[in-house]
Amino acid sequence: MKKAALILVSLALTLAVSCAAPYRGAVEYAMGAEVTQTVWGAGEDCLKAAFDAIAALEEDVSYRKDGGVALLNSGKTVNGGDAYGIIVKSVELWRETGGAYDITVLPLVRAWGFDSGEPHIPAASELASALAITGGENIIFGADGIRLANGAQIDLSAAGKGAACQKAVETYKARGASGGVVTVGGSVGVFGTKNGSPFRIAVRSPFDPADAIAVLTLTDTYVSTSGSYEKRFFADGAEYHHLLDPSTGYPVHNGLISVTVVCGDGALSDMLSSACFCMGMEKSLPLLEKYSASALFVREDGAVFVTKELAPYVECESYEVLP
Amino acid sequence: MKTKLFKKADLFIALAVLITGIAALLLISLSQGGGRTAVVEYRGETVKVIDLDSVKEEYTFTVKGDLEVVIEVSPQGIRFLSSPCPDKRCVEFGLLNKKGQVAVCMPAGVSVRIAGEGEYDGVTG
Repeated sequence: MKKAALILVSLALTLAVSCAAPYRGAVEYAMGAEVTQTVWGAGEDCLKAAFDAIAALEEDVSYRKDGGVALLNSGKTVNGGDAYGIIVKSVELWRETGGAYDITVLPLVRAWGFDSGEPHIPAASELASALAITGGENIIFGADGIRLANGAQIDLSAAGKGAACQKAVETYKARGASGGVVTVGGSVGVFGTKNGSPFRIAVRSPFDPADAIAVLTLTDTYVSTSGSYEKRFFADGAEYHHLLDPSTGYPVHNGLISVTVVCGDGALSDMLSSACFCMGMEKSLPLLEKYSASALFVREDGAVFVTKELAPYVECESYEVLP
Repeated sequence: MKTKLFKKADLFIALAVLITGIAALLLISLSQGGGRTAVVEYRGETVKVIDLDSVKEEYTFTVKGDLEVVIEVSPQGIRFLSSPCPDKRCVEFGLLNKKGQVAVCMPAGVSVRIAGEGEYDGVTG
């Protein structure tokens, strides 16, 4: 009888401990995007601390705020902080991609009106003057820090959301959570497990925003997507989107409609998704390999391609595994 | 010789653990099972909570966020009916009726989500 009681007790304990209920936060806003958070084995304090970390990051990396990026754009020198670290990675990627990934695109983004929410086709002269000050060579590394030359202006939007996911995940870890999922716009960070299971991340269909084109089962990594179906407008019978080619100043058209990158570094997952979108599928493969990242490409015709490292974690109606 | 099957302390422990277990089960069933509840939020604050399963007739309401958006509730689900935002991503998202689904109007700071654990833990894109 005593044994029976013990078994009962341990069963109940196992049930209570192993099935920690998730704590879901409200939808909040930072980095120009919506932030959602769910943690296992932690609660509201943990989510609040994570959001504070994201807000602090935003202050330093958003050109709209007053931190590092704003200082650089106003001609000052910066030699530390979150923005500094992302800029160092960005310049390396700018070199690796032959200029396809470029954070000095802010004048181009402004010329197209993508920063104002009222996008339009820029006048040729406006585009030419923006292009004249675009280029990673305008980011100068000196003994006292980084500064911008030639009137260049930087925008870390293509890195910030992924970096924000990492800030949140670092907070979950530090606070002893057993699992967590954070989404900042189209970037996702996953950490630990949900009661022993990995996380299921839907890749939004570029053709129907309520539908998933694929599902990735992952943990302890970061996922970001760049898609031409976001922030687009129609003018003169043509479609224009926000992923600009820094060499032409025009939206990239290479047959891709979205690129999803999985990488162990949050900012890099975000940066690589932009870089790969601009470079196209073939040229992206060696780049992904160099950064130990993997990707899922969706073509405008709906065909899906997955790098071989990611293939075991992908559920998708039909896809081709890349060599 | 007669021995006691349970000491008093054993019983207390067993009871305490049983109650914890039942509470955990209840919490899990509350968060996973049952009805669909839509939560409308403005910048992290709950504006409205709607039990979708009790909706018999279609109706709309307005949320005065940073922009004024119109949300439609029907027995089929909930959606952004209209928004003065430039990109209309919120309206394009369409009907939400599955747990875990989220639609957001960024310029208005208004979001709609179906509470509970969904099919997916996160969405990229």
